[in-house]
Amino acid sequence: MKSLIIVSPKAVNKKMLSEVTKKLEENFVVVGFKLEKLDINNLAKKKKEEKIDKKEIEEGLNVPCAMIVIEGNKSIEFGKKLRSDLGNDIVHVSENEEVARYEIERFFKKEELFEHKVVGEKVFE
Amino acid sequence: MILMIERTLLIVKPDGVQRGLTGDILKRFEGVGLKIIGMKMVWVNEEFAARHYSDIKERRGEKVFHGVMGLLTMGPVVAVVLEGVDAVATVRKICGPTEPKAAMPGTIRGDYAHVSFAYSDLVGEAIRNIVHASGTREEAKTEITLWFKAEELHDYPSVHEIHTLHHKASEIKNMKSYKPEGSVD
Repeated sequence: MKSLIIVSPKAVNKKMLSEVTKKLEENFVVVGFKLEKLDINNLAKKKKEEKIDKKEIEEGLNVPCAMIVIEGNKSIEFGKKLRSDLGNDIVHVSENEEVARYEIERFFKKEELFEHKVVGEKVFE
Repeated sequence: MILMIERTLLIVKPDGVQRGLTGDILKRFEGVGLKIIGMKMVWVNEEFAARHYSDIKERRGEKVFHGVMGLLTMGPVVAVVLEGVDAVATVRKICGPTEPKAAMPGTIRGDYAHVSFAYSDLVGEAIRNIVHASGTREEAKTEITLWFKAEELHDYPSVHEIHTLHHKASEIKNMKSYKPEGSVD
């Protein structure tokens, strides 16, 4: 099962990207990974009902975030655990399977995701 | 001061990605205050790898060329553009020399690999040394242009710069006004 983890601009700025990456690759196969600035207009549209401070968001979005797609058993649950450990201003995680599918499709093109194998528990498969 | 700021390309090669070393490797660069301004996972084909290693055939011969081509294309890699003072040399220092056997502990190759050229020659494989890093400013510029589009690189102010680069707060706010060496755009 795939899940999307977004490492927030704040976390990138705090040099926490390596820490989050390490936790993810220890437990899952990273199948998509990129640094990207979020588009303020896109976000504002999505959040138009909510009162958001556009200036504050613009400042935050000046820094890119990292988007990581992980694949493996219980990737959603792991994401939520990570969020409760680090804080929801550090990582965004997919809420459930359906949302994960939507988010991954939204942020990643097909050719940016890679089916591959990493070193696992077994020596021979 | 700003003229010394360079950009360079680092690639976590498939052996590094498959061993789950990407986070550990990034940590070293984040730690010294180099800025990650571009990053993506990508699985390159033979044609792309041949462009990346275009000078290897001349310098090291056909056999080495095919070896390194095979290693680069055997799985996805994580390509990273790093920016900082003398970034090219700094990143090479952190990676250690090409042959892991010769790499000092504390470097990426010294910490995560140990094999020698003699051994890899014996088994007939190119040396698995986890990372690639540009060797010179010119190489960095060529390689960054090859691997990244201009819109995939991001200028941004970092909260650490006051300390890691002695940037004044006002300079950080005006960062868009300079283009470091190796800028693609």
